[in-house]
Amino acid sequence: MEMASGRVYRSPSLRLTHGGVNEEEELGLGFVRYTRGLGRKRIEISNEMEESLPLDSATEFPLLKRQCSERMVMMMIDDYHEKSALESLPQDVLIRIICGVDHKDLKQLFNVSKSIREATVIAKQSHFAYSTPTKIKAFRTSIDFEESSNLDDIEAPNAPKLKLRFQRKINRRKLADISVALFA
Amino acid sequence: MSMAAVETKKITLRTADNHEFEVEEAIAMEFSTIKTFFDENPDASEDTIPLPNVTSKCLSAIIEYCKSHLAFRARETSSSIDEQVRTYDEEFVKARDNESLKELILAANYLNIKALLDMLNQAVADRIKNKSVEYVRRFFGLENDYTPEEEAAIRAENEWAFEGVDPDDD
Repeated sequence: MEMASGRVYRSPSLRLTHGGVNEEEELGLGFVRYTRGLGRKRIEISNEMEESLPLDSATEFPLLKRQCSERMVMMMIDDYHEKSALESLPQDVLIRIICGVDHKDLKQLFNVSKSIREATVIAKQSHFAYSTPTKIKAFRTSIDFEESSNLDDIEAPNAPKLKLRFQRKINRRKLADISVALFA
Repeated sequence: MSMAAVETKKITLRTADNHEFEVEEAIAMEFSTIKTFFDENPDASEDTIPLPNVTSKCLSAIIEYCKSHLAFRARETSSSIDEQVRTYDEEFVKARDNESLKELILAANYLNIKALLDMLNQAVADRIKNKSVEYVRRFFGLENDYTPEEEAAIRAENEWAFEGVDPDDD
């Protein structure tokens, strides 16, 4: 069985299969959650569950399988919440999280997925750009009006962002002034 | 009206899983979403507020957090209080697994509790710092949607792109 036990072992919160079949995804999630407490054996059980959904076939662990099937139904209902939590962190939240990582992690984040890459690009810009990124604000509702003065704090509480902003502005202006003087 | 000298007003909240929580007004006001709602609908304060995006597990954790932080704020500011706040926040986060953190973030985002959201976001950032790409994918429940060619291109691009990020250039 190719369901590399290694794979399942390493990713307790992800699908167990290659493909993106939703049904299997949810099963995978449900399973791993349920069998968290068991030892290595859990991997085999989950794999078997995946393959024979209508749980008729006799297996090594028939009793557990029956229990599994009942709980599975309940799990799937619960997992609806879990799954949506896992998959739907909105971009503005992702951006804020990414603003909290170290600069050297940004590179790595590019490789994670397209959506993370996008969020990282935006986070990078708000770290180093000198204009207030109003785009992020647009995701919020009018509640943010009272917090507009705190916008700086939302992005990166401990990054030297503010200093950069001012430095850049001054440098450019100085350059502009010098240029004018030279060529006036 | 009331016989007691001080009667704190309670607000009732109903979670997605149909549990009702009664909280003191001061705590409900920490949730900007709710505060704004009451500001705009002052007569609604007796009603039960439905929170379809928040589970009872999350809400009770959030209420605990807000209660504790309100209590901290009521005391005189000092570095020892700051220390206690930091410790409290660390403990709050430490015991929770990644899924719970994400749920809490979504709830705090929905309820618009800035301090909690900032704290949780940073906690998650700390958890993914210095971790492998695979770990981050698992954390957010994401799939690698790059083709091998795209991946190679990104890696090449990164080397170049991050050269110029040094703030002293330009």
